[in-house]
Parts: sequence; C-alpha cells; structure tokens
Amino acid sequence: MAEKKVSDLETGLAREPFMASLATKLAQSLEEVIGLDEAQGFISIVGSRMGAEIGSEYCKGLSTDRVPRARLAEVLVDLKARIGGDFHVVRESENEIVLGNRACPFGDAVRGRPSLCMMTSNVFGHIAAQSAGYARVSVDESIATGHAGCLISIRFDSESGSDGREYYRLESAKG
Amino acid sequence: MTKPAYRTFLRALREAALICDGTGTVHELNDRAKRLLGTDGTEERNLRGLAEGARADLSEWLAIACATSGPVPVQLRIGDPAVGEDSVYHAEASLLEPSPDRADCTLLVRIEHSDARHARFLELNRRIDDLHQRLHDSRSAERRFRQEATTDFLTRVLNRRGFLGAMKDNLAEPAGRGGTGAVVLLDIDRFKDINDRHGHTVGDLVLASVARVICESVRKIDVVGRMGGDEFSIFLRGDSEEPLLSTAERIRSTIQTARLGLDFEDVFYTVSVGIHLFDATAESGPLDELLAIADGALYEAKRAGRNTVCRATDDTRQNTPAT
Repeated sequence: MAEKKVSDLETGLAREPFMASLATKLAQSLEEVIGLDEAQGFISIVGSRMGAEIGSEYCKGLSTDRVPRARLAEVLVDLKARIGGDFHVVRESENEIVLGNRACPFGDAVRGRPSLCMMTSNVFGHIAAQSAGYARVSVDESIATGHAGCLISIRFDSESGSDGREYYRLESAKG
Repeated sequence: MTKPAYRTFLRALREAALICDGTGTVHELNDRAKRLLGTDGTEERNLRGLAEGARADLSEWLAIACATSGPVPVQLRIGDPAVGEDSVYHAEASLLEPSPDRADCTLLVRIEHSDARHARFLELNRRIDDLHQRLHDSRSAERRFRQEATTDFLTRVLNRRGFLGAMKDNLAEPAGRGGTGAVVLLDIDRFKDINDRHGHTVGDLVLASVARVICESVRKIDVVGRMGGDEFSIFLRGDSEEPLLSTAERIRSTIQTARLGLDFEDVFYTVSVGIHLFDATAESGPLDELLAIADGALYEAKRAGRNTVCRATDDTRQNTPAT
C-alpha cells in the first residue's frame, strides 16, 4: 500500500482555526498563570490596540475622523461579521446599544475562556468611545461563560449604572 | 494637584504606589514608591524615564490607561541599588479621573516586585486550596447529615420523610421514567408474633432482611422506604403495569422462601403486599392519597389470608377515606 503524502493528510489544520486556537490557548495560559483578572488586563491592551486599528480602518472607509454615532451599531456588527461573529442589534436608543451574538469569532474553543471577552469589550469600547466620547461596555452574557450566545450592552450615559468597563475618548495625544 | 484622599489611599497601600497624570508626570508617591524610584518626592519625576528598562512602550501604556477604566498592566525593569542590577516589576495603572486631555487624567499606578507578586500568587493559591478543602468538607458533612435525616437507621432504606420526598421528586420527572407508576405497601405478616417469640433483636434482623430482599429486587431508580414499624413502601415506574406487578410478586415470593437461621431453629416469615397502579403522566393527586389507596389494597391482602399481593381496584379507591 502506497504511503500517504503528508500534504494530503486531513488534520483539520487551517489558518483561521489555527489563529483562533492560538488566541484561546494564549488566553488559557494567561488565565492559568496569572489569574482571570490579570489576564483580562493584558488582553485589554491587545483589545485596545485592535480597537484603534480597526476603528481607523472604518474611519478611512467612511472618510471621517470618527465613526458617526448613527452608524456605530452597523460598524460593530459588520466588523464582527467580517471575522466570523454573528452579531445583531437587539435594541438601540440614544443612550445605549445592545448587541446579541450567536457565534464567537474564536469558535467553540472560547468556552471557559472569559478573558477573551475583553477583546470584544475593548474593541467595541474603543470605537464607541471615539465615536460618542464615552462608552461603558458590559458583557452581560457570553458563550465563553457558558451561555448559548452573547449579550453586549454599550451605554453612553456615564451617570447611569456602574457595571462594565468604561472607555473614554482622548482629544489630546500629547505626552 | 493631588487630592488629600488619594494621598491617604497611597499611604494605606502595602505596595509601592503613585499618582501620575496621563503623560507620566508623577504627582504623589508613597514611601515604598519613593524608595523604589530613588526620589524623596520633591523633584519632578516622569514614569517615562523608566522607559529604557521597560519592555513595553510606556507612552502607549499610559495612553491606554487614560482611555479605559480597568487596570492596565505593564512590566517594568527598575534599577535596584541593593542588588546593583535591574529587577522586574509588575505595574498596573488604573484611571481615577478621566479627561479628554491626557495631561489632566489622574492615574493610580501600583508597582510590585515580580518575586513578591509570585509569592502573593502562591499564598493566594494556598488559601484557595484551603478554602476549597473546607468547602468540600462542609459539603460532605451537610450531605451526610441530610442523608442521615432521610435514612432509616436499622434497614438503611429511606425513612418516611425521605421516601415521600424522593417519590415527589420522581413524580415531578415524568419524561423517560415510564408512564405507569406503582405505589407498593408491604407489611410483614404477624410480625408481633416474631418479636414476642424471638425477641426484638431477631425482629430487627427480619426487618433488615426484608429491606435487603426489596432492594435487591428493584432497580436503582426505584424508591424504597420504611414507613414505620414493619411496613415498607416502594415506588416504581415502568412502561406498563405487568412488570410492576411482577416485581411486587417477586418480592413476596422471594421473602416467602427466605429464612433467618438462628442457633436452634430457622425463622420463616411472609409479607402481604398492596399495590396501587396509576397513570404517572397524569395528575396523580396528593401522595397521601396514593399511599392510602395502596394501604387499602394491603388491607385486602391481609383479609385474603396474608402472604399475597392485592392490586387496588375501583372498590379500593371508593373505600379509601379522602385525605
């Protein structure tokens, strides 16, 4: 019997699943070594950088300095759709946007890795704060913590409630 | 300008801590931070002066910290005069007062030596393990206590309270457990005579033996209890009446052939059995009523000459007093 070519083997190894697996394993290692809270802190930095990068891409595409508040929900849903998420607007008002999600861009491996939700919080928070000046993002339900889907609230009124992580727009980059 | 409250807060912290703005200019330090950064606090310090030894871009770190409420970590290398070389420190910046201008943001920065931090993690882990063990112990004790409260001490089957609770739980789960339910009441025939003739120790052995036969004759999902005295109860579920009736008859016949061997003689005993079959998928009525109907059938088994199984009929139901 002829020996199989290695390149013909079905290993399930492909670029996208590999990247998702890499991210979840990094998050797992962080959570195990330094704990969930601190892992969330580190992943926030990554999320913040990603938020800045993604936000500027959309601004470039829309030929504007900031994502207009009126198009913010559309942008957040779109950016997640492009990376394999399945987000939708649950409700939207002047003071909040609530988004639901049925598929995590990190795939099923995200289950049990809640620190990765900090990516969503920071990317959404950064873009939303740049758009509206202030945003408070709370991940009320998540696939990572065992829910069937995610429920993300983005609030723009700093006076109402204190749940979630707050994000601010910086006018000045000096320093 | 640092608020007095921040100053008090800094003094209360165990680790090195300081207040700075978003550009890294330090406004207030606690004593540990003064020692660590080699300053008496009078000269102006900027955290970005540490950038040379830092693995991260401290300007970006400060910018991120000014833009979010959560603590933002970074690793620093700070010269340690005691050992004459750089040591690794873990710093975390938390935004106290946001502002659109970084220079007007107020940040709390807590700095901890990596070794101390590692030791803190180990201590935390030890405490968590300890807590986990104590929780496990208290849960085991609670489980044991609950089990004892619902178990008959002599026969190790459920007591009346445990039986009624388990039966209620079982009835609340109709799916997959079979559409027919059976409440079986079983009474040892002339048990008083056994006690009178052989003594209560032998009576207890007979009770334990009957309980064992019952438990060996039913499935694990069935519920067995001792209702008091020499009366036992069984709750069965099945897809049809026939196997449930067979189980009751098997228990009766097995007990009939069993015997308790004493030094000088063997003790034989029999049981009378009343069984009430009902549709377990429908509203079955109060548990007491189900037991009362089975009790009526047991009474009929006694009247029929004992050592027999009687099934509750419509007449039994009609003659059962309302509960």
